[in-house]
Amino acid sequence: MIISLRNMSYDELKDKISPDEKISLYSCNACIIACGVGGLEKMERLENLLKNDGYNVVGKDLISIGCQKHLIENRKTDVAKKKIYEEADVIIPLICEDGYEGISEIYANKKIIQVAKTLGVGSFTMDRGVVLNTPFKETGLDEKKEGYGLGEAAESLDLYTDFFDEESISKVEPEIISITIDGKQISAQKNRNLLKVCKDNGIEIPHLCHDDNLDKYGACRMCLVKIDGFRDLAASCCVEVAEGMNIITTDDELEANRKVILELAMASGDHNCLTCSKGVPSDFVSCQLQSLIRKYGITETQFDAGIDKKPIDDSSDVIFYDPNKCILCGKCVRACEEIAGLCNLGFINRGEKTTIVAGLNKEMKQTECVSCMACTDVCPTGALSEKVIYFSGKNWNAKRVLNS
Amino acid sequence: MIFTKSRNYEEITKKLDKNDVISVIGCSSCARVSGTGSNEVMQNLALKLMDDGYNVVEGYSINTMCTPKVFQAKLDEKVNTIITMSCSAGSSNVNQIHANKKVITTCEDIGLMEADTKERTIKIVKTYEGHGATQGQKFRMFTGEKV
Repeated sequence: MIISLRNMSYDELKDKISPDEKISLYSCNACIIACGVGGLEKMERLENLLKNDGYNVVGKDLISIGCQKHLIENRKTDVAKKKIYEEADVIIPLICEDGYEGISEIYANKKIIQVAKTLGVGSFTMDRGVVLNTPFKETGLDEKKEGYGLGEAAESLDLYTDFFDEESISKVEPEIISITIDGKQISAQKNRNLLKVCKDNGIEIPHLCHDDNLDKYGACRMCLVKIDGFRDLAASCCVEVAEGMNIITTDDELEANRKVILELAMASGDHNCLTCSKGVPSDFVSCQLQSLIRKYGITETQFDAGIDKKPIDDSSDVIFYDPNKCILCGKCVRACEEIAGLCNLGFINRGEKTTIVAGLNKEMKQTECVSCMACTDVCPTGALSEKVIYFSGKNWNAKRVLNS
Repeated sequence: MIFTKSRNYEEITKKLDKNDVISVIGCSSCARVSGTGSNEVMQNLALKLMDDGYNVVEGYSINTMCTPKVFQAKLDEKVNTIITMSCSAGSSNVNQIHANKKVITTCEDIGLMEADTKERTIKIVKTYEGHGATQGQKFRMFTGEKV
């Protein structure tokens, strides 16, 4: 991965912008996250900080991998995204110098402020976190076997390891409201997503189609809760909390609903963990569906499976797609649209024949997929997964590893 | 992404012994795009080594060897030598995890690259020492041939 650190203070950033300018924020969703400089959460924090200081932030955009020029170019014509850039006088990218090249070339008429310094190539280790292994000569750091921790590199080069004025951000007082969840009085930030408020307070509501990096969707219905005054059950991933809300997240009826949804998911495809790459949960891959099925103690489904086997797509070098394990949560479709900005995945057909396909129902390799992995990162089952290939034998035969 | 070039075959074999039990681990992320870590490149190297009498017993293709995903390569217990087909970060990860094994890397870091999947090209954006001449140059995706 590419190692970068923040290279300016918040005051230095403010010196480069004026309150009259329209600002768009843009962040890569790859290496820069591990370096603590990018990602949706960091982008939202910078947005809040700037807005609280009277700056005009008009939009923000997360890109799955910022060094893929094609993905940045697509944003110029993407109906949902182009306005974010067209409107802006200034773009602040939370991105490495590699990604900066593309955005500064494609939006050459905009003021683009580079807030990260790229130091070299590094790895994410289990014991030390992110380590800079091979620094660029200009850093003045010598190569050493154990590499440099981010703190050590930052100290040597007078850079920052934390995000913009984290202390100042926490000093900005958000509007706090009082709500009741499962009979317990809770203080929460006004308009914060209910699912997140529950998570903040140690209440885990099961869900399959929600992802913090994606827009709210409410498809899987696993996160349904009861809210006083609501006519029907509400998908907590789509609700913003308001003063005085009284919420029930679990009771016999809600749990029974969740079990039925899980049984329907089980009946909707071939969810055989023995032949699934996510069959054995690990630090790298885990199946959310399997985890919930175990949590709810479901061993069989009362519904008939009775659907035709759909063809597996093994054409991509890096992505394996088994539509028989898809629960149609739509996460991959949204990730491809919202994060990659490609819209390369979509639903086809209706009813039990509904499935997700790439391009115009082609094999993945024939489409404009750039293997950014936005889809595999969010898939809650083994439908879309990263390939691990094992080679052996005198002909060096390749075999996909089911789980490693 | 990180652009790498393959080292000469002789440079690799110089560090190998016919008694080594070898596993090859390739990175299907940046190295694949650079043309230095794809399944085909891995296969070519392994078959050539086998033809030349080296004991290559297995191989793994892993996405992003620079992360803990490299643990997904569960090596045969007889393996005492690992050939990495990745950037220096992937090799460093393997070196750290398999400190008791000989680790040989087939790739050299050239610099950072921007990929253009429409054009199927790579542009070098920032270079390592000794590779300044490649700055701004374009190469074909998946082969690393100069455009």
